[in-house]
Amino acid sequence: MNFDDDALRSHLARRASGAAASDRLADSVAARVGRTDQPPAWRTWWADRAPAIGSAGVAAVAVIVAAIVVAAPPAQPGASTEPGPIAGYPDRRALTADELARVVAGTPAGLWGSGAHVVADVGIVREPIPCDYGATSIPCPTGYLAGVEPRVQVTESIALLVDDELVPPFLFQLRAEWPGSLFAVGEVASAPGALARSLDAFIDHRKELAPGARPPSEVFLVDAWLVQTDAAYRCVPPTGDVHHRFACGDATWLAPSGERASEAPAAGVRVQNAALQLFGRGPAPRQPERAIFAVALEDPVSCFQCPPAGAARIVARIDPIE
Amino acid sequence: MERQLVERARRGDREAYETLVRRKVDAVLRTALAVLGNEADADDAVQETFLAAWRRLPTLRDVDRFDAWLGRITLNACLMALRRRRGVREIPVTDTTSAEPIDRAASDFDAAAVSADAFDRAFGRLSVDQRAILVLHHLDALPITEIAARLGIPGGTVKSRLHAARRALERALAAEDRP
Repeated sequence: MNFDDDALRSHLARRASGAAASDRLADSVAARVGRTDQPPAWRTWWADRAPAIGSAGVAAVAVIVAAIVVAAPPAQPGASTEPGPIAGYPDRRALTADELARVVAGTPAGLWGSGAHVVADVGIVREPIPCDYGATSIPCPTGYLAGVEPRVQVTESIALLVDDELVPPFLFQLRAEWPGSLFAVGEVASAPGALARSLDAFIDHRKELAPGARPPSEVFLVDAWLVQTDAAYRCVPPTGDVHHRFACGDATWLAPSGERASEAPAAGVRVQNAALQLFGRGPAPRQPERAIFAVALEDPVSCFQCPPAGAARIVARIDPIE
Repeated sequence: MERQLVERARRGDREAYETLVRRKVDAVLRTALAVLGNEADADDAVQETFLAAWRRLPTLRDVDRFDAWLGRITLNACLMALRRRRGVREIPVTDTTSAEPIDRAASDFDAAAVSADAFDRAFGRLSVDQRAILVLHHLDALPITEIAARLGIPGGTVKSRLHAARRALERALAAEDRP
């Protein structure tokens, strides 16, 4: 058996396609560079070579650091930092500003840095921070949680950055690489009297929405089963603008029941391929799972195994905070 | 011209660096997408690449090797993105309206008709180094000397690792095809 060069190149090219957002990426990088100073050359030289300096030197530094830590007076915990349970989340309500501040402070233990998503009814305020570009300085908008002290910085998704009118609640992600700050994924479209909709209610609501009338950052919370096809397909590489997420492959749906399926459930919504592998928590592969999912509306050019209600893209699974 | 931009950026000129970013972002994103196969991870890796490059630029000794140097940072950023994700993979697939279910019991591995799903799952089993060497050689069509510079290994090692990566991919594809 030999997988020939052309086939390999074709598959790699398919994986590498979809670079349409590179301008926005460059904008985002430029904004972050504008807020980041270059360290002096001696410091980066040291950082690059420190691992090679030898364990003895590192151990000596560790002893000094440990001595400083031991010598420092213990912090006095205040009554306001006492953690409390967060009940009823997420299907009935969003986190309040106080609850979100506790999550950012590291409670409940273990949640911070887990990559978990939370929904919170807290505003985002933007303040212009000066970004220096050579001789000129321009204002770079930087987001913060409204009314939360000490201040918590919010990094907004590209979809939110282009949205001038931010309306809470928001879907936030706790990213380990940005400790003490939050990543804002999108605005949550609340359901009447609740945050999450049933699948039927989501499909009905979607019919009422005019195409393109909603902000691109908007996500919906849907309580449904996630079901992946039992069938396997031979597929040819996509052509033109067809997006691989909804093309031939491991078709996956939000469905009203947990029955396994090999074709689109009539009362379901198509989601991106292999979503069960990404968002499933159970040990058994391809076993349907029920949860609350944050989904964004999608209108793919081509939709393989698509039910009448069309397609949506799961952006997160919302697990209750214990 | 590019050499001057790198020199200026190395001295802290943000405007010059932004120009470099706009020139290089497509190539970096393309490599990250090919290695990671996931848009969200690739976006993160691209941002981390350019931020890390900005911070480390003062240490770049040979400005003529900027591309190879940036390529190394890109692959490190991809490695970090994979570590963060730790086993959680989004597997994008291909399109056809005439797809037919596979009779797995009757089929042998057909290299010419490997589905995108199967390829991506098999590719996902490779290490970042193996993915990188396949991308640099087969997608970017870089000469062995350039791949060696980007990976920081001798040319002979590039050839042996390329061969090993290819065999590993074929084994992974064969495993995907088994019922």
